[in-house]
Amino acid sequence: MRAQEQEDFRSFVVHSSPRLLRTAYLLTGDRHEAEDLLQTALARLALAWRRVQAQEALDAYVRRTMVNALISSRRRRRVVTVDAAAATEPTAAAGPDLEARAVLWAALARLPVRQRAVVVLRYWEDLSEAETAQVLGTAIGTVKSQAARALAKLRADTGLSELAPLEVTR
Amino acid sequence: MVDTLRSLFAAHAEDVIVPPDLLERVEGSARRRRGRRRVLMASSTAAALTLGVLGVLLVPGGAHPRDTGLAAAGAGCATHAPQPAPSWAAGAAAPPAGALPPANVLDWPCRGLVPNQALGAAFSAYQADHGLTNSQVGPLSLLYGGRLRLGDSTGDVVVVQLWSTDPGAPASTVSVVVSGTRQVNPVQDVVLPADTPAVVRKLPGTSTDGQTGGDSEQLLVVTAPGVTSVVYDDGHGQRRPVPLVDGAAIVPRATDRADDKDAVLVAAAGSTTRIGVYDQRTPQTVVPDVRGLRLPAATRRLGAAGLVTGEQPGHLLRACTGRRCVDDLVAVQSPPPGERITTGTSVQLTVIPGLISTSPAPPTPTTPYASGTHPVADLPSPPTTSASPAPADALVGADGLHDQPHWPRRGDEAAMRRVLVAGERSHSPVTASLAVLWSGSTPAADAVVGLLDPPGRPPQLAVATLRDGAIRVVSSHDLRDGQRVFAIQLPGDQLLVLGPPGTTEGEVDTTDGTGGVSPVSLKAQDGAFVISSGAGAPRRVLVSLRGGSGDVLFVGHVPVM
Repeated sequence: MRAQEQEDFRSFVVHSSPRLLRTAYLLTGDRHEAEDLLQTALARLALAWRRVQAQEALDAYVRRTMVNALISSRRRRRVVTVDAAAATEPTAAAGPDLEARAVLWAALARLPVRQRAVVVLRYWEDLSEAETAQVLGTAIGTVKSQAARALAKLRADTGLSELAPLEVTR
Repeated sequence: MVDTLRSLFAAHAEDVIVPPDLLERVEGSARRRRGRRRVLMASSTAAALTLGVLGVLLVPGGAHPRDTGLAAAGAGCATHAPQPAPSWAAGAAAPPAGALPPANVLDWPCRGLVPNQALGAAFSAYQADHGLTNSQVGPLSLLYGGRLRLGDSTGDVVVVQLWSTDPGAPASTVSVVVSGTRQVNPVQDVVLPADTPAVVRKLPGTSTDGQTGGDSEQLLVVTAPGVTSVVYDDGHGQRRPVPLVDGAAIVPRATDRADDKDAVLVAAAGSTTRIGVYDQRTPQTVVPDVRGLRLPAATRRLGAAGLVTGEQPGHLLRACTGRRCVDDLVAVQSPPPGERITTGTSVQLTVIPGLISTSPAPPTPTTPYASGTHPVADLPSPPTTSASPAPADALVGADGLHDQPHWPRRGDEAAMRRVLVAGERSHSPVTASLAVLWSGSTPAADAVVGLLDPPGRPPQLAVATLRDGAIRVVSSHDLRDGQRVFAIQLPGDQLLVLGPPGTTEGEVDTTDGTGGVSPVSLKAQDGAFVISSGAGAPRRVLVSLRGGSGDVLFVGHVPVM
């Protein structure tokens, strides 16, 4: 990697990693795993920097790499870990919103990895169905069906369909 | 629901903070990957030259383009229509990172005639089942291909081994049966050990209603080189020899076979192996002991037993994951050695990452710790004067055992208070740094630890009791040079773990890695944990400690004093 390319890459990492790490965390549900996932994806990006920079959006490449790496690791592991602390923290404070959030977070962790990826890409990254399909390397119809199944499962698991949107405290 | 999800994501994501060393880690990881890639490209170029020559000599019909390795080195399988790589093989152009075959690849010659359609179906099925892209699937190994009579129809059959490009990923043995355009027996995907004498696959037969795809009525047996004979056993003791043609055989199963008991007996090199044919349940295997091995060796041993390497859930103990673990030691496995589990199951491994940030090396899992109990004079109630600041080693994290507001007043309070915080107390002939342990908001009155420094003797860690304001030493243990992490058994099935100064969180596995119990993950109180040791005091514990900046301060086994 030439000096200028290295500088560009570093700049990309510095500016994009907060957003990408959030996506990784939502994909994995575990902070440590999210860091590892992002690190893996960015390292691959570094190796393919020249080609990727010339051909496609860098963010899209990293997202796609993260999703593929996650699917691959989950397939090997076959045990889904739930960040218990993250799942239970909200319940420590009383309040229906926080409890519902904890329930939903736990239900999200139980989704198959592809369905969870679809949900995160669609409703956190706000990608279109076509963009989501491109990241996942699948058909648009598959994205639609995976999203529908994921939402149905979340509704069934949480009974949240009747609840109002959770209030976000910033 | 969608709004709810969005708000949930926003709430969780806002807590995520990028670690300050991310860029450094990414660049280091990229450098290591680049180095590995160069090595692999160099070795795969040399291998390609060698195998290319072999392929020309041994496979006049031309091996399949994806058949870049082991099958080409054997007798070779011609394909129905040798032609440029099909679309699914597009990823073959770039040398994949996992070009080196897994340890459990069956280095056998390919038998029969491989139908391209079935080969493509096997590849696609494996890819879909494992969620991989083209470039993530390594070169395949062809074992068998043929067009067979399946009940009332004809079907194409292929048996191949496929694997992902992830280092350490085992090869899956995949068999696909295609009848016309319809898969009637899609995929049987199992991980077989490298020393298996034969691959046995059930094939669709004719069921009672006469439809293809019903109960399995015949077996496909593909044998390893050197197999001399194959015998079918119906489970009732009736056996019949099976003729092999080019190392493969089609075996009609007995109609009155015993459920789950018919088998194929494979004889080679003076030994006979029984391979059961299971209609209802899956075969079992015994979990080998891989603790203490480096990860690649552990993966190979698990693969040889038909098992898959998994990862241990947790936080700190999984600080090393994936490729970063390659050179590190397996400390914990679950399920434990000796347990019978289903073939193909993942064995979760915890790998010691070896990220010790300071010079003292952790005791290795196999090194017994030289500890003992030595008589040490009881300490009188400490005076009020402090001789000098304690040395850094003497702190051992005990400076975090702060005073508690609800400590009931007692007669020995004065003495107790003077030893609340680690500090040096001199009493001829010993000097002690002492700390009182707490359990919740009350002190564990009988539990005191101190770092003793008797003249002429090595430093010792003492476990003491408080009696009438005096501190009575009940046991002491020589300390190793530089030892900074201590595990001390306390009364009441409690275990105290003291880490080096700066420890902020950690995990303690009281099963010493021998059980399937997840580690206890706790926030340290300035380097100190008090946890339940459970019934039966452990002889040693597996400890992982991390500092405030996220650095791993210590990972290793610690003997329990």
